[in-house]
This record gives sequence, C-alpha cells and structure tokens, in this order.
Amino acid sequence: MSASTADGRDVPHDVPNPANTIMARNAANALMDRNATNVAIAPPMPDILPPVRPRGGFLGFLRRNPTIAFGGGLVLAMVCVAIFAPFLFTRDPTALAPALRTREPSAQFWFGSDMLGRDVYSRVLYGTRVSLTVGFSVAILASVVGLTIGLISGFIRVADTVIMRCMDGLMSIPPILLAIALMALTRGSVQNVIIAITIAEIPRVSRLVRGVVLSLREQPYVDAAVASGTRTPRIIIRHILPNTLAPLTVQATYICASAMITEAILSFIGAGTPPIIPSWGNIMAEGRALWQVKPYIVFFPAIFLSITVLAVNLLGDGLRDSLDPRMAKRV
Amino acid sequence: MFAYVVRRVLATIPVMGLVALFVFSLLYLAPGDPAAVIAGDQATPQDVERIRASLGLDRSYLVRFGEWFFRILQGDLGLSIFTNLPVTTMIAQRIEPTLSLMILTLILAISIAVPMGVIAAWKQGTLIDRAVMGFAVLGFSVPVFVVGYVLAYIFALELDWLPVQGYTPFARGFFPWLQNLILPSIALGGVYIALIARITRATMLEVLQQDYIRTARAKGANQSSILFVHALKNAAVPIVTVIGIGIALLIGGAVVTESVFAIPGLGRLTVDAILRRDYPVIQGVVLLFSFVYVLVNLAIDLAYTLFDPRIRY
Repeated sequence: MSASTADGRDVPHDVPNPANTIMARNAANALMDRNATNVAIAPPMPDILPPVRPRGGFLGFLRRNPTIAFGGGLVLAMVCVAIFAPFLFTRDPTALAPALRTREPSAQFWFGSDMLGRDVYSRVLYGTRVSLTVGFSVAILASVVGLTIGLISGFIRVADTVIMRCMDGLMSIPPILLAIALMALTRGSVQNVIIAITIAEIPRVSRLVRGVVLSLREQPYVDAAVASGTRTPRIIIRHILPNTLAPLTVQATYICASAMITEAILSFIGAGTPPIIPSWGNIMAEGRALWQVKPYIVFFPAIFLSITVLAVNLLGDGLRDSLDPRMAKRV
Repeated sequence: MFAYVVRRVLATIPVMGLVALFVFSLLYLAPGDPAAVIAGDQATPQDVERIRASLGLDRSYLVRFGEWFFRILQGDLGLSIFTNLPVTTMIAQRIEPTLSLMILTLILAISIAVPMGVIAAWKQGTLIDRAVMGFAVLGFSVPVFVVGYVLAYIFALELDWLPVQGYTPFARGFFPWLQNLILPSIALGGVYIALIARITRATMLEVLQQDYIRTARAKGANQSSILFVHALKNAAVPIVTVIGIGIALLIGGAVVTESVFAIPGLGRLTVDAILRRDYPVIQGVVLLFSFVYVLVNLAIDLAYTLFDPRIRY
C-alpha cells in the first residue's frame, strides 16, 4: 500500500477492472466461435447494460461530469469576479472613511465597513485577485518544477538517491511551517508568498511524478521503445511525459486549493501578503480584533475563501474521476 | 526484524541532518547583520569587523554549521533576540497548551473519523456514504480558522456554552482544561477527520471484498464484529500511515488555531517570533516540530509489525 501524499489522495489502485474481465470473456467467446465449430456452446450472454451513446462535444463532457461542471463553473465565476472587480459596484478598496467605520452591512456598505471605514465588499472582491493569483501561480510553478525533478530522479539513478533524500528532508518540515520559515527570511510580497508556498509543495509533486515514471518504465511499451533503439529523451517526451500529465493535472488542482489556504493563513498571521494589499487573509486579520462585536468583517472573506477552495477541490475530484476512471468509484 | 529496526532508525539520521542544515541556513541567510546591530550606529567598520570575529561570524558556513549542530545536540538552541531568554526555556514554557491541543485533536479525530469511514464503506453508495464523502470534501475546503470562528461564534458567543478563547492549564482540573480546548480541537480536527475518514473508507472498501470477509459472514459473525474486528484490523496499515502523515496538518493548523483562540502555545510563539523577526526562536520551533514529526512517523513505521504480523522485515 502506498498512501503517500499528505492529503492521502493517491491511494493505490490495483483492483481488478470489471471492464477488463468482460472484455476477456468476449474475446474468449469470439475465439470459441471460430475454432470449435463442433462443440455446442451456450448462446452469448445478452447485453446487460443498455447501449449508451455518449453525447459528444464539450457540453456532453460537462453533462457526464457534473462535478467538473459545477466546480469549474464556480472557479470561472471567481476568475470573472477577480478580473471585473472594478466594475462590480466596488469602490477603492483602500479608501479610508474614518467617519463611517465599523458600519453594519447596509445598502451603502453591502458587507459593512471595517475599523478604518473601508468597504468590506470591495476589499473582499479585490481579495479574489490575490487568492487566485497565488493559487494558480503556485499550481503551475510547483507542477513544472516538480515534473522536472520527478523526471530527472525517475531516469537518472545516481541523482535519484540524492534528490529523494533532499525531498525527504524538506517533507519532514510541515508545509505551512516551511512556508512560514521562508517568509520570515524575506519581505512580505505576493511574489515571495508564491515562491515560499511553491518550495513547500515541490517535494510532493516530485514524489508523485517519480512514482509514475518508475511504474511507467516497467511498462512493455517502454521496453519495446527501448528495444527498438529509441533514445532516452524521445522516450521521455513521447512515452513518459504524456502519461504523467493526468495525475499531475489532478495534483495541480489540489495544490492550487491548498496554496490558497496557505496564503490566507500566512496573511492571517502576518507573514504573507503585505497589509496594504486587500487579501482574504489580511481582511480577516484586520477583523480579528473586532470579531466578537462585528463578526461580518471576518465572515465575508471566510465565506469567499471557503467557496473558492471548495470549487477548486470539486474540480480536482471531477478531473480525477474522469481522468482515472479506475479510481472514480473508490475514493 | 532487529536489523530492520536499526536500519530504519539509522535512515532518519540523514533526514534529520538535512532538516538541521536547512534550519541553520535560515539563520545564516536571515537579513540583518548581528555584528552591525550589536556595534550600533557609531561603530567604525573596523569595530564591526572585530565584533564579527569575536562572535565567530567570520568563519566559513560549514564550520559554523558544525558548531551550531553540536550545540543543538547538547540541547542548546541559542538565545532569543527579543527576550534574551534561552529558546529551550521559551519552548518549555509554551509546550503544554500545544501538546494538549494536539493530543486532544488526535483522540477526537481518530474516534470520529475511523467509524465514519467504516460506516461509509459498509453503506457504500447510500445517503450515509455520500454525506461522509461530502463532509470530507468540505473538511478539505474550509480552512481551520474559518471553522474556528464559526464554532466560536455559535457555541461561545451566541449560545454561551463554552469560553470564547484562552487556555486553562491541565493542573487546574480536567474540565476547565477541556472546556477551553474542545472548540479549538474540533476546528483543528476538521481537515484531519476528512483525511482519515477518506482513507478509511477507501481501504475498507478494498478489504470488504476479500474472501475471508465472505467466510466470516457465512459462519454467522455479526456485522459489527466483521466490520470492526475482521476488516478494520486488516485495513489498519494505510489508516495508521495517514494518521502519521496527517500530523503535519495538525502542526501547521495549530499555529493558526492558537491565534484564533488566543491559546498561549508554540503556535503563538511562532507567530510572535515572525512578527519580531526573532530568528533563533523560529529556528527552534521549526526544528522541534520537524523532529517530532519525523519521530512519530518512525514510530508508526516500526509499529506496523504490531498491526500486521504478515509484515516481517
């Protein structure tokens, strides 16, 4: 059993595939039909499952994968909110109005105003930009770097031992603590937050890719490619790389979700995005002092953060189910 | 078996060495020159140089790492820049709340998550199963501090059943201690419960398809003994592995939970140290947490033989 990542999402999948056994039986039936004409054989089994004609196109895909449609739709909506934040009836999220501070939610301040009189609605909407930027950037960066490291250690035995020991070392520091430690070294900025979280996520991606590479190297078609004289770089690009993309995409969405949470945590404890930039973690940190009397300052960014992370996680679950149907029924 | 234990214990030494090297580099790379700070504004470059030499800061990276590592082995984590107290003393003062929080969360999470996963696997495809899986997705998505604030708002502010924040030492009685820790533990346990429930369900589904489960049913064993004795025992290894790996989530989450509930533990210490750029304290806490994490997972690896006598090394 290899339940390896911290989120335990890549549980082993070695159950017999029912589709395989049915196919095997059909193949056996076909053989018997041809070879043993004199032997009485039972009539072929009737098709138990009614014929399914999958709807083609993008809409059909979404219909067959409601989780992807729902999660993806929510993520898309959040992306729109981030891009069009200035046009969604917001005002300057940093504009101070000391006379109008800590107002309850009203027609003037939809989500109320904070202790400096800033509009919480505008701040929350602009906060979407920080969260999505950090989430997407970390997902992409960690995937690219993790893919490279994973491919190198999967193919070069000498490098493998050294790299994997280093990854073991990095992995024994809890990811959030590692990100906190890295942030303590630098000034708070969105860019540094992205780098710190990426470094904390890289070991898990590298391990995932390395595992996939090692199992692919044992596949007959890779042996065939080696036997027919294909050069290693070509094997990597043509035969290995495409097969790592499915699990990597799924992992990348989970990393995106956890990066958004980590960014909020870092900002919340004062080690993340600089306080001038409205991010969900910052808004919650500012609302903390007042939260027992004015809970809405904390709750609105909290709701947005939770919904966005939920959307990305659902998208990841949907992708996992559709990219790896064998796992779909299990986890 | 004994050879395996020795090998496994020895294998953690390079890992711990790497962690130490990383944590040392943290202080080494930290911005700000301690010598310049001590010398003050009026000092000439020669003075700064002299102080640097007297502190031993002019020597090479590896020499300094060796010396630092030797002091760590003797239990000396250095002095805090801010309070001038030994870091070990500061950690010792703050360790009880964090340890209490984590142990309570661990007990709570395991006793909720494992039955949840078992029942979801038993009732696969039913509403109960879907509810458990839905809860798991929620647990992964709603961050610790959000759960914390919602729970505190409902049970402490609105219903007034439990204290909003703070910590009562265990020495002052079990119930005051529990009262303060119950909400933080549930908040911290959310992700952990989701993680354990999910892996329990997945492993149980696999185990329940095995022949000996059918045999147990055929001989008339009752349902709960099949689930919790026959099946769960064989599903134990992956579940226990994930419990060990998930401790990383607890450590990260504790930092935030302690901020939300104003618990004076190691998490608060870390946050304060970051705000003050107190590098020796950050170093000490990261080192301690990583050490605990590695040791727990080592213990779990060694304990596999207890859960599964088939595993012989």
